[in-house]
Amino acid sequence: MKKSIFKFVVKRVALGLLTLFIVSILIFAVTQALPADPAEAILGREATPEALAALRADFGLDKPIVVQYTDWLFGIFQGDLGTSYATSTSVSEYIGPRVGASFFLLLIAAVGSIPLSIVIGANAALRRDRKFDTTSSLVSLILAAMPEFVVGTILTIIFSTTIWQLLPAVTYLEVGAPPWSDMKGLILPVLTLLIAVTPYVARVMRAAMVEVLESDYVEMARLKGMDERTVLWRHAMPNAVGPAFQVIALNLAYLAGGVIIVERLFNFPGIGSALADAVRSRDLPVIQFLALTIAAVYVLTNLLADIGTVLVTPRLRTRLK
Amino acid sequence: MNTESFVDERPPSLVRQAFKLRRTQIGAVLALLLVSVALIGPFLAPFGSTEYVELPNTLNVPGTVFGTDYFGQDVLSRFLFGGRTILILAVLATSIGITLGTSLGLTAAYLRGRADETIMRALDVVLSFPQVLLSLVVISMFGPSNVLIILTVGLSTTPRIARIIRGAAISVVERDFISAAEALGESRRRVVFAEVLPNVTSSLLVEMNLRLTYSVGLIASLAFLGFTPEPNAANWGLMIQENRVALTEQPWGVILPTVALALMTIGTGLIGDGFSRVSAGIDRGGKGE
Amino acid sequence: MDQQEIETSGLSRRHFIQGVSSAALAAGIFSSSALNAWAASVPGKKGGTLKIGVVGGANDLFDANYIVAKADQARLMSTFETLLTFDQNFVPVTKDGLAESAKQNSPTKVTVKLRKGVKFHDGTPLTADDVIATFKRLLDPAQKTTGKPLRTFLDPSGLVKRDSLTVEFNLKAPNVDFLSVLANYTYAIAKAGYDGKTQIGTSAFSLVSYTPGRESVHKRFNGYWDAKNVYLDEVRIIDFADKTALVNALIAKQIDVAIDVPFEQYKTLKAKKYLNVIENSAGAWLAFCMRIDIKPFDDNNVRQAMRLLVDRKQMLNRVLSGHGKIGNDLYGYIDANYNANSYPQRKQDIPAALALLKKSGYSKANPLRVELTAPDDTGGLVLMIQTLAEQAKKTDGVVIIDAKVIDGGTYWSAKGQYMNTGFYTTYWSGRTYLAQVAASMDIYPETKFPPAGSSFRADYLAASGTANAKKRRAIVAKMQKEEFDKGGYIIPFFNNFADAYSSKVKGVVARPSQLNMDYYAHGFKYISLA
Repeated sequence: MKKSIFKFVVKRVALGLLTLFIVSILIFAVTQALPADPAEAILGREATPEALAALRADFGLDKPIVVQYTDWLFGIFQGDLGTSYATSTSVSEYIGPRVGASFFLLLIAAVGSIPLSIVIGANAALRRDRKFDTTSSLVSLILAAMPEFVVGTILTIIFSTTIWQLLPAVTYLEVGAPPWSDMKGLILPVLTLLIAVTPYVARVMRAAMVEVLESDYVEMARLKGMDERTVLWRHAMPNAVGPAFQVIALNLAYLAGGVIIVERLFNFPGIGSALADAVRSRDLPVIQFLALTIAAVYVLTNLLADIGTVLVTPRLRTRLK
Repeated sequence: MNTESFVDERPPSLVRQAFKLRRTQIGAVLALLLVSVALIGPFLAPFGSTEYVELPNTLNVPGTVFGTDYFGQDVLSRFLFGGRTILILAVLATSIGITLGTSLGLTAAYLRGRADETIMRALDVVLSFPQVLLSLVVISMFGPSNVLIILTVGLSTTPRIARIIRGAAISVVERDFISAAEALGESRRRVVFAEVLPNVTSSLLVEMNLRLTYSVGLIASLAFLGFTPEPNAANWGLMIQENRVALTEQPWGVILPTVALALMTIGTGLIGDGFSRVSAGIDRGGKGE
Repeated sequence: MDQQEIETSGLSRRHFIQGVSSAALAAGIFSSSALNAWAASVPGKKGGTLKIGVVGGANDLFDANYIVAKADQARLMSTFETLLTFDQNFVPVTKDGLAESAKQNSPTKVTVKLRKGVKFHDGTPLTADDVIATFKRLLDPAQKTTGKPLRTFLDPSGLVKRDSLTVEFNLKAPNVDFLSVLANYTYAIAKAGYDGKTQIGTSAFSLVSYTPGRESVHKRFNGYWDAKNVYLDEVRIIDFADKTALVNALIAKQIDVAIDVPFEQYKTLKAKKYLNVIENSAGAWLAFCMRIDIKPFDDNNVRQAMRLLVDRKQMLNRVLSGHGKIGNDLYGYIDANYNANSYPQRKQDIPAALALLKKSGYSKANPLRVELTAPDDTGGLVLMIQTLAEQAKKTDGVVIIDAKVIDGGTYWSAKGQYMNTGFYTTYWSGRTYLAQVAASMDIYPETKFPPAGSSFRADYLAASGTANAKKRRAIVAKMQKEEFDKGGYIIPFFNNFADAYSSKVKGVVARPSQLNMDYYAHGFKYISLA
């Protein structure tokens, strides 16, 4: 059995890498399909033909597309992520500190939202149709209905500027300071992310749990006379973990997306705000690198979720043979 | 074991049973209310959607209920005009996602093996981007347009739904009654849509409701980031962003559309809840051992 | 709080610099008596870090001679200084400037004597060589600077070093107001050999670090020539992507100054006891441009009809919530000779507009349909085109305006709508009349005015060379008549801007200025914290 699991894992990883490769081509293709010339976007109103030509040569925009793509890809493997059009510094210099900051923010949010959503979802399923379930259902519906920037704005108004003035309104990290140097300033962004993600995941968790709790094999276990607790832990939970894994992966994914909005709202110096900025100014190298990074994170989490699901669902394991 | 009995369980009774529940009824009322506001609203609006009434962000303007918005337009009128576009956009986008996603997810789960692998891997590529990111990049490259938004939201929703459906279907597909149906010679399509589908409906319904609201939120978020197809279009999502700056002085411009969105979510969510309870019941009841 | 508008008188004055008529103030600031008291506060204690928030991003520029956005202005002013500055009447003076004296010897010669003992941030002394190098850079067409209008009057060969502290400007065309040119804030002096990358200036604070999209840190420069007027230890200019976040940070006391606060937040900010808002109007303007060489705007009937379509008061209300002054299709609001012909205020006059259009054959059966564009990165312009399209509906189908918002990158690009189409929008900061004429004719020929056969350009050169104030006014009046009757701009208003301060910031001066924070306090001098 172990050999087949190993083979499965290897295969999945290989597929993940293939996916990433295709993704990189897609990213590059889409971003090069610009209607506006990036050189003009950078130089703006003052562009002279000479300045434009010089800039294009500088950034290698005059080479054929396939060459540009391979240059870019190999560059990344060598640690050369390109030069940002906007700041004229290297992408790694510009993005480096931000990656750490965003990662820290996401970590705290994930550490909060994953257990929270699993617990709320499971509890709601266990106590379905009772008070906890209906209340949590309603609350999570309302919270899920609001886009993150609305949640963030309301939280700021309540805790920072208008009703109470307890918390900072923006995150201020001095350049070079570690992301935990303004923990107070992280509270509202993390809270916003939690509120944005948890309701959704909790609901999906609940749905999965309900299906399990009302399924045949659980019924069988009950009929066999087992007490509810054993039913829950030995029969229900293991089968709910599979879909839960998928859902956690999507959770992390959703957080990564929410980061773009939340960082801008709270002026957090991470890759989300850098990406939003780069998209507005058509800073291609930055867009390409960040899109690739976020995609890589996704592929990784999905990979882990897939492998996790298989390891955990007995039937799927037998299929591997 | 009489396998014929559950082959006869058909969707229509699902609907009827769902509507017997109070929660589905409440949900339907809410959803209907909002849809009516969206559709009939424009005829009830006291002012035009782009008509100038008074200085922007003024609360007590005679002739208006909620005052003026960021551009001097009547908040109430804009709200009444604002449901239509956004609902159409969101429904279209979500429908694309749900139809494609469910079909692909079910097919992958049922066919298993290499077909499953190929389908899911292809979808993985799309799944490698957060929806916001995908929409952002595409829209920033090609300019914001309603068609583009519907397409990006719809296509980026597809793999997400496919994944969830497949995840839920995989366990169903393993079950005995499916093999039984196959053994009876039922066509593959029938097995997939008549047998497997009803059993993943609860996951589907939860997804549907949340995806719908998410689409609206995404449109608003794109506006927040500075990308909107029609500036000043009367559109609940856009209204939230446009009036956000003046929130502390003129809260209604944000409150009204946000509450509308919340009610719509609750409404469709309750409907989804109702259906999911009932289909779970069928799931259990039809196969008593 | 009662609002009083402080208007300084619109008289032209002679200043100590010989023989030049100056721009007079028609701008104003808005404040209350309580605000006056705070604004007039004397700076107190030394020390502290001032945190300034401004809307900016990774795109920010840092150059002594080039800016695009407000964040760039802030950074320029933080590090570099000009030879002369403008006082509140837009008269060029030596206060806070690097010149000890500046004399307009003749319409084609200006002599500038530099202050003694001025040091750059690296300790080296300021000399005439640096000034000449800076102006050569400005005149160089291969460099991205704001120096193009200079080339009408100056060649590199006209820059002469008389001694280590004296520079002579020998103009190739007469400009009697060249001292105003020297007061242009983007003509700041950098060290000879300045490459645009190493920011070494003469200001009160030297640059410690600059991280695009995040913040720049400036430390007090102990060798500063006017050190007695510097109180702060450190200044941080912090970028914000979102203007609401900027305002929130100020309210939450995380920053001390918020540059360019949105109108919608004025009331909220003023309601906070620990904050103050200073609104400034200095002739900045937004406009519709009609190219007089592109159909249908090559027909003056059409142009004048469009000007009569605009309900300016409503546009001011819709676009700026009333924060501005109504315009009359003439620029140069801060100039003494603004509206020299005293034209009455143009109002919306649909019948007159329709009559003009009828002359050119436009009617409901044959409507005038035009596309009007604005970039999505300048909020006011977007609202302007939407407002005009709405107002055109009053013609009941004779004029149909199709308002389109284009993404900024495309709009401003070399082949974009800006300057390449018949009907679009633009923005300008306040300038004297002749300076604006130069900019609108030569740097950004937005309307391609004047038409062939017009004496406008000759008039411009004549006015630039005329020292006699009365004669000048007469020429300017002639030029303005031509623009008023046949020009391609629709200028509905002049826009205000405002900054918000924590009340513990002392030494802030509330007076008319072209830039926010009173030219960023000329490099954050005179400002202290409590």
